[in-house]
Amino acid sequence: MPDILKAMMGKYEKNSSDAYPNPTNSDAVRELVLKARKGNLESFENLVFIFEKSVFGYLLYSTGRKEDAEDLTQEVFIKVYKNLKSLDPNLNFKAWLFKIASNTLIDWWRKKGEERDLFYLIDDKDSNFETIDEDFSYLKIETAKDIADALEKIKPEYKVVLLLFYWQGFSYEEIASILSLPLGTVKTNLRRAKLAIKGILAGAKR
Amino acid sequence: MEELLEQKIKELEKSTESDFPPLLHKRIMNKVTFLRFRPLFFVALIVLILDFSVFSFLSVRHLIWNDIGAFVGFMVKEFELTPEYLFQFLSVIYENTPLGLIFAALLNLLISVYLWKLYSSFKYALSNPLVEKN
Repeated sequence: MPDILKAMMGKYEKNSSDAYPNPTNSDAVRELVLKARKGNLESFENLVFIFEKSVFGYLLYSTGRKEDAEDLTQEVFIKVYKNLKSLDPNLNFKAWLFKIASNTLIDWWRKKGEERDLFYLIDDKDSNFETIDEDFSYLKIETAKDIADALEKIKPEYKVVLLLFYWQGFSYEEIASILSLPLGTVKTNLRRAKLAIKGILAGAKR
Repeated sequence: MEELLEQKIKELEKSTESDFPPLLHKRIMNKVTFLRFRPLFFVALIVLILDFSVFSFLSVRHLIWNDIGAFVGFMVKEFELTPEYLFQFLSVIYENTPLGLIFAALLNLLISVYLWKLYSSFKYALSNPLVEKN
């Protein structure tokens, strides 16, 4: 790992109170973006180091396939490299990055159109979301694998919103911008995502 | 429950880190480096091809001006297998042929072909991760 990155990661650890430092608004990231825009390859590599795992994870759980997630992650960073000069450095780099990742994912879903039905294991018509209460307390979620298995089974629209909100820590507004959706749709999808997860976990308990 | 869900989803992040393909970072950076140098590569290739065209044109023009075709025809017609004849033939060829220009044109052509083959092999390796991994 380059020295500058080690120094930066140290900076995140110092500034962040939790175990998952979020470099979204970091001045260091902005500085790296500015340098990368000027053609500094080391700065671009540091940006890749910082975000590659979260982009890969997002794509891994969204596609459910490691090989595809690997190819898509590569494609995302190539697009980032090609379009970096068009990015306003004052904008949130992480949100911009995930917008590219989401668009790449949507294109991938379109190309795999015939396989997309696999993701529709839960249909709105089959699940009466309005009648499910949001009390999850009686469900026993023992491991992250329980969630991972449940994520496999929900609609991609819900899965993506859930991952962006809880994993990547984006706000409703940021998710709306990333997915080019109205704010209301994002909130509805997030609520439905939670309820879909709950429905699956409750079904698994029975 | 909200916190539990969030906590468990964040735990996925940890498990994903161990799933992260070790060569993916290298693949990304190799491709970016390739993209970065691609314009320079094409500029070099265009310059070499232009040089080749200019050297070839000058060589041909030189040969036409010196009427090398008629001379060679004459020498073939008067052919004798003697050291004097061969020496005379070679010295006339040497004096009337732009050897430097021909050599430069051939060198340009060879380097252009080599660069193109190099570019194709890089492109193939980067678009086929299995090749790179092996």
